[in-house]
Amino acid sequence: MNQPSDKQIDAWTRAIAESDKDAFERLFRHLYPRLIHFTMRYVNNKATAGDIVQDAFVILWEKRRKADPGRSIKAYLYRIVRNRALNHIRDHSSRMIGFEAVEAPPAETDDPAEKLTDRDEAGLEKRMHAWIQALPDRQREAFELSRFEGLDHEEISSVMAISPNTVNNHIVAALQHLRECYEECRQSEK
Amino acid sequence: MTDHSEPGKEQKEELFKQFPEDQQLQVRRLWNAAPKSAPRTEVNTTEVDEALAAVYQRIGTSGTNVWKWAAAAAIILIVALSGLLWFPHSVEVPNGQTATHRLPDGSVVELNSGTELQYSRLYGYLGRDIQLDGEAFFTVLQGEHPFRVHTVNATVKVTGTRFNVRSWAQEARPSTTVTVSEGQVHFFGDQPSEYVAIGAGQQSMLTGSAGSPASPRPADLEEAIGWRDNNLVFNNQQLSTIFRELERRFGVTITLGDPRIGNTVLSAYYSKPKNVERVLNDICRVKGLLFTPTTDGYRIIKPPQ
Repeated sequence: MNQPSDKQIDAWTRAIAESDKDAFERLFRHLYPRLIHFTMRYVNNKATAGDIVQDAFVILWEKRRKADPGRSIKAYLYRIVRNRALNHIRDHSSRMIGFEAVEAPPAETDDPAEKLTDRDEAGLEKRMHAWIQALPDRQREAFELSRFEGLDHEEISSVMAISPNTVNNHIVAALQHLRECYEECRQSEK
Repeated sequence: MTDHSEPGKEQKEELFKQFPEDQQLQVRRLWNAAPKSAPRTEVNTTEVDEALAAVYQRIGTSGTNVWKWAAAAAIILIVALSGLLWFPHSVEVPNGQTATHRLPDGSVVELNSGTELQYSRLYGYLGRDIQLDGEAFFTVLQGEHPFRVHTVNATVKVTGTRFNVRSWAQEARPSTTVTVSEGQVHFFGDQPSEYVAIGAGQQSMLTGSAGSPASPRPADLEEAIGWRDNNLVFNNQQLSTIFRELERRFGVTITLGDPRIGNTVLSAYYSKPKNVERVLNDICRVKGLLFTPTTDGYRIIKPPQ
């Protein structure tokens, strides 16, 4: 997929503020799959994720004239989606636990092919997924928004309603955590 | 779509610099490996198209200008409607006529000459409240909300019944007389707790608005509601009251040469009188008075001694 630059997204943002449906559609096509992917980390149900992300775009369109052109439209959408996803979990956690339970980390395997060695990148990736899942919630969110969603610290700070400094601290703590897991793992392999 | 998604290069380098030098390479490696670890949720083009269509349906696919105008039109409409709701529905019966008015809930009001009736545009939705200045006979249907008649000094509350309310704001002392022909009503002034229950064939009166209305007493229904059949019934009424009745009934103006004339009391009964002069003639003969025509009615005078 051709990835639009930040400049391109800024241009769309301004056009959307002028009620340009064309720009809205481009932004939608660009961000919808990524936002679905992001939302799935919270609700783990594609239909629910679809509803949440569509809501966010409807809100974006309704508020387009009040949009601050200086603010990131990406951060705006991620923030709405995250809030709604968290609300959804809060409102449905007791009733729909089966549906919404976060995907369990892959079971440890005895398959020698997946034993971690310095050269075994596939094994590392598998384990990393489990390690990331095991991070404290806020650290994991900040890390994922940075590494997977490509948001900068200012955008993450707006999405998570914390200061950019705290964003940095969360990400560093997450990396520290991952590094410790990696070390521990390497020690046990020896 | 993995490797593009990194924060600004500088911010990334800043992250790594926060680790001891001997760890930086390791951290960098973990950073690079992380995206490959995440299972991706695939969203195909058809799903995006469907989602986009759903969003378009919700935000409206028509041009935005149409929305702007629609919003403006909606605001104007709301303002106009609330204006309409603000002004009550009003029924006024000119002097010399009577009228029958059907309320939105099917209840019927017969209005005596010169009577004014008002009720909210939301009558029946929020309640059934009527403002009355004058005299009217109500035939009230059972309804979800209590039916209330408010006069200048009193309130009559009913559920389903037939009754007459007489309360002319122009009278010197505000007073309301309620006569019930069927069912029962609650009648009160300022204090809803101090009411009297008036049953069929009974009448009560409240002068001023403080305190309880008079205990109900048997009513002369013909006197109270004879106006509905165009009869004139006066039972020991002051001439001032009688003349005002005649003014309304026949649409004339009656002036008094001497205000004391109005204080004398009279009883009289007329079945469907057609002619005000016949009534005046009788009154003046009995009371030793004279009347002369004016441009818009009559003047009542005491004959010179």
